[in-house]
Order: sequence, then structure tokens, then C-alpha cells
Amino acid sequence: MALATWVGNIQASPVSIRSSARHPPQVLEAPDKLFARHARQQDIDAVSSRADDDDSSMSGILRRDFDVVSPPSKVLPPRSDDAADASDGDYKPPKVIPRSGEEFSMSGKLSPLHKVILSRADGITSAGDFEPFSPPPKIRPSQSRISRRQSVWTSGFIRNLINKFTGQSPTKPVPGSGSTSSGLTPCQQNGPSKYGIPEMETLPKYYGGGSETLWGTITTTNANPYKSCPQTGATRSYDFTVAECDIRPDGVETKRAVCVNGQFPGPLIEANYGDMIQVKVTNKLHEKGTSMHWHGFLQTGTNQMDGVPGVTQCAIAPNATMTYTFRAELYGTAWYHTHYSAQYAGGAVGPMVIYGPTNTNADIIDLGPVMLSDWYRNDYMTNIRGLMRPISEGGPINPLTNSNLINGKMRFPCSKTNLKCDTADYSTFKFTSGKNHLLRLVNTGSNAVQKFAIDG
Amino acid sequence: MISNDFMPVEPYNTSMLALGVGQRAEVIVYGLGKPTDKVWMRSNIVAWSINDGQLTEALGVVYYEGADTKTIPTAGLNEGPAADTSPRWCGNDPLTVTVPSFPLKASEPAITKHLDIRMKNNGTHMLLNFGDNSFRANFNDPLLGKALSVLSTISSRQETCGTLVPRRQ
Repeated sequence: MALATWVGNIQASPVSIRSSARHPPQVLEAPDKLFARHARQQDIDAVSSRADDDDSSMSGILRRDFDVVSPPSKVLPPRSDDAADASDGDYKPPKVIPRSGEEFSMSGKLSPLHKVILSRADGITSAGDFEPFSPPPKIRPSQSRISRRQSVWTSGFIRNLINKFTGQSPTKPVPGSGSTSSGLTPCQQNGPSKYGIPEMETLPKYYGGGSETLWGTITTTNANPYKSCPQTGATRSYDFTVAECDIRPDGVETKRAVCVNGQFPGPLIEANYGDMIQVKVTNKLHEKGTSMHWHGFLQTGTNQMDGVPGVTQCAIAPNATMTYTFRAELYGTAWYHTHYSAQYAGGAVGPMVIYGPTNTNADIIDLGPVMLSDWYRNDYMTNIRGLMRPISEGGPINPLTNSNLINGKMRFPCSKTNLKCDTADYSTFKFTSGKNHLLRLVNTGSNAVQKFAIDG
Repeated sequence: MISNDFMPVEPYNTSMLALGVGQRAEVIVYGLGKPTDKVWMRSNIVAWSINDGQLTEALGVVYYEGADTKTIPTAGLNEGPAADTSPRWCGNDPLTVTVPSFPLKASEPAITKHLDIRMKNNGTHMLLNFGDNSFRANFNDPLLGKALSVLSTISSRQETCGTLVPRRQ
């Protein structure tokens, strides 16, 4: 509550305002699956509890007392110290045909990491009045496929082509112009992401119109979530495609970013405490493996779903699919990211919200995930090659963070770069005076510690 | 602040909070402003996190319900509560204030090991070492599969040798 009680040192300098529609009606229609949060939920079948573990060793802690709703409990084996025990011993990692050794080789093609920073002469040279190309609206690939259409339209290819023919470059606005008008559409900036734009919906208290009976009488104080969890019988299914994407999170061009379903940050995974989550992950990267790690999930009995290549699975080969199935054993806010090389630094991250008991009865507007993330202009392979540069060639180069984002957005002052740069939008959040707002903060970056605050 | 990394905490007040990579915090922010207010939301990279110094403060805009969304707040960069008095401090709020709603008692460890984390030269590369070991994954032969096959070997032996390994359900 006191986040907002700090009285900021507001600088009262007037700013010039260039009026413009905040977002052109560019936000594309989302058909069937993409943003219909409630479309996929299955009916909640039952609520039952985990076997009654013994919490009595915790002095002063209430013993768990689940209200078990019919049908009779499906009882999961109690968690024990047998942590290494997988539910069934027949784990068979998918076969991966080894590709070219690019990931491991330190070939002569090694590009110095800070080439971009040191030699900025390769950027766009002149500012013009050219309006950035807008992708044709109303076409949106289904969630399961990043269609060729999208990758072509949103790739800079066509924009570049037009620039080349007209001899013009995208507008280079004055930084900090005090306007919300943007040189980029939300789609050019982040793909079909809804985070930080007015179209972002507030989140419900329970997923799929459920109620607190989903987790019975469990509260934050009367049950040890590390020892038991309800079984709702529901499975939440998602379809992810990992592929390269053309995004410009802070307005500056990015090389070979990697996105889930073409958007940065990736789609929101939602479930209720005790639900099963099932995510089909398809790799559409060119000659690169991938995998998805569900950060913070216990994976009791589902060790092989943890998403770490070389440890719990073989990487998902290009054009291959792996379906992850695991339970929401804890509740609150989490995130997912690819776990192959430094891939997630390139953008393949997204938030997860598990609705469950909370520590407040206040009337709250859930504004959803607020992802804080450092950002690199270089593609992840360039960064990792620098980090792993052989001693004979000069040893490791630590990648430097180039920018910082909230929900994948920030307005980089274009005067500070010679790279292609357009005015980008800040993430926006709708507050209501006198109301409580829930912010689900996640540091989805790959290097930097973040310090978060709100003026006012 | 009501929850930290999947663990509800006893609510406490703060004007700023630090999050390391991967950490999460659920915060409730009371809308103290007027309906026409607009203010910055800020996130700063701590000074120790390596960066090129060009943009270390990410901004978002909080618009109250009656605010003019065609304009942005006027406060400058690096002001407000994000103007940290100890910008190099990367720690979270002290454990004395982050009290879990359901405290778990740590059990006595059976084994205690001291592991130093170091960058070490292995002859050709600098590698992170964890207690004098670095890990090289074989992407075609993940450890879990190996562990399971070791387990199944041991568990076939365990019938005669006792219970050394986790029991299979």
C-alpha cells in the first residue's frame, strides 16, 4: 500500500505535446484461441486433497484440514524425501538428431560482442518524415502456428525494402518529447502482446469462473503448500511455438530475437491452484534447439518436465514438439523461459499466474504481470559466443545490458543510437483513484537486479 | 507486499523493492492519486549489474481513470523513490520483514559442504566452477535419464541390499 504513499520529487517542467491517437486501430482481432483466456478451460471436475501429510512437526502450525468435495479424493502419493523418484520409470527422452555444431564451436566467425556499441556508424543516417510501414491488420495466425504470413509482415524485410526504394528512413523523433505518440504500432514493438497496452484485461480471482471452493478451506496460513495441494481435475492447455521474431521492445532494432507465439513477452499461462498445466511446445527456430522451463514449479513426480536440456531432457529439435504436463502445486506469480543456451535473453519468456489463496481480503483490481527485464540488442548467440570466447582469442566478454523494459516496453532515446530507432511506447497501467491494485512483479531479465517503485 | 516467489508473506509496506533475476513479488498498490493523475512506474538496474550506461531506468505510465492518456508524466529520469540512496545494494528486503505466512522449519542437514564459486581457466576457456567442478552437459544424454537408469539398476539390487535408494511408487 505504501508503494503509492511516497511523495515524489515531481519536476514540474512543462512538456510539448504532440497529439496523436495513442494506438492506431492496429490491434488485431484475436480469433478463437489467442487471447480468449477462458476459451480453453475445461470443467472443473472435482476437488480433492493430497494425502494427509504429517505437518505436526511444525510446532505452532495448524494441521491441515481440507474440505474434501465429492467425488472421493484422488490421493497423490505424499511428498517425501524421495525427491529423485519419478512417477514412472519409463522416461524416454525424445531423440534429437545432432545438428551442426554451431552452438558449441568457437569458429572464426566470432563477432566481437560490442561491435554494435563500438561502431554505430552502421545505423540509419538521416531522419525523414517517412511513416513506418504498418502491417496489414485483421490477420492473426492461430496460436499454434507462427505463420509465414506473420513472420514476413512483421519482419523488417518489407519495411527495409520500402525504405530502400524511397531513400527514406523511419522518423527519428526527439527523445523525451513528452508525448505518447509512437512511431511504432504495438505489433511492431512487441508482436501481438497485450501487456502494457489498454487492451490488457484485468485478471480474475479464479480461472474459468471458479470459486474458492476450488481449494477448499486452504488458506495461506493453514496448509503447507510444499507438502500437499488440491487436485482440481482440470487441465489448462496451451500451445506454444518458439521462433525468431521481429520485435523492437524499446524502439531500437533487435537482431534475431526469439519469441513465444510471435509476441514479447510471451502469452500468459493461467491456472488455479491444483490444476494440471499442459503446454505443447513446438520449435520453429532455424537449426537451434529449445526447451521450456517453468520457473518455480516443484515438478513433484514430473522431473522430466522441468525443461533443462542436458539435465532433464534432450533439447527440442527444430520442427519437433514436446508436450509438458505438470501440476500447479504452488500458487502465486511465476514465469517461464526457454532454457537452451542463452536463448531466453533473446525474448522467449512469459508470465504464469496460479490463482490461489491470498493474504488479503481487500477489494483488488488485478492488473496482472509486470515484467521487469534488461534487454540486449545483440542476438543471444553473439552474447554467448562472447561470454565463451576462448582464452587464446582474448577470453570472455561480459555482455552489457543495453536497455531496460517494463512489460517488454520502453522508449529508448533515439539520439543515443545510430541503429534504426523509432519512438516506442511505454507500458501503461490503468489505476483507479481510491482502489487497491495488484501488481505481479517478475524480474524476467537475464542479468540485472531491478529496483521497482512508483512515483506519487 | 503480500507474496514473494510463490510464498505468501505477512503483508508489509515498502516504497521500493529489489528483485533479482527470476524473483517475483506480488504488491498491492493503493491508488492514492487524484482521478486525473498520471505518474511514472520505474525500474532501475542496480549499479553492479553490468550495462552500457545508456538506459538503466525502465519507465511505465500509471494513468488514473480520468488522466489524459495522450500525455506522459513530467517527472524526470532517476527521481522519485527509485532514486536509491544505496544504488549498489542488490539485496532483497531483510528477512526480518519478509515473514512467510506458513513458516517452514529447515531440517538439520545430513551433509554440509563448502562450495566456492570461481571462474577458472580450464586450459582453453574460462569456466564457472562450483566447488572445483564445472558442469558440461551432454545434450544427447541428459542426466535425468542416466540417473533413472542408475536407480533402476540399484533398485533391482536393493531387494537384497536394503533400502538405499528412493522407493518407487
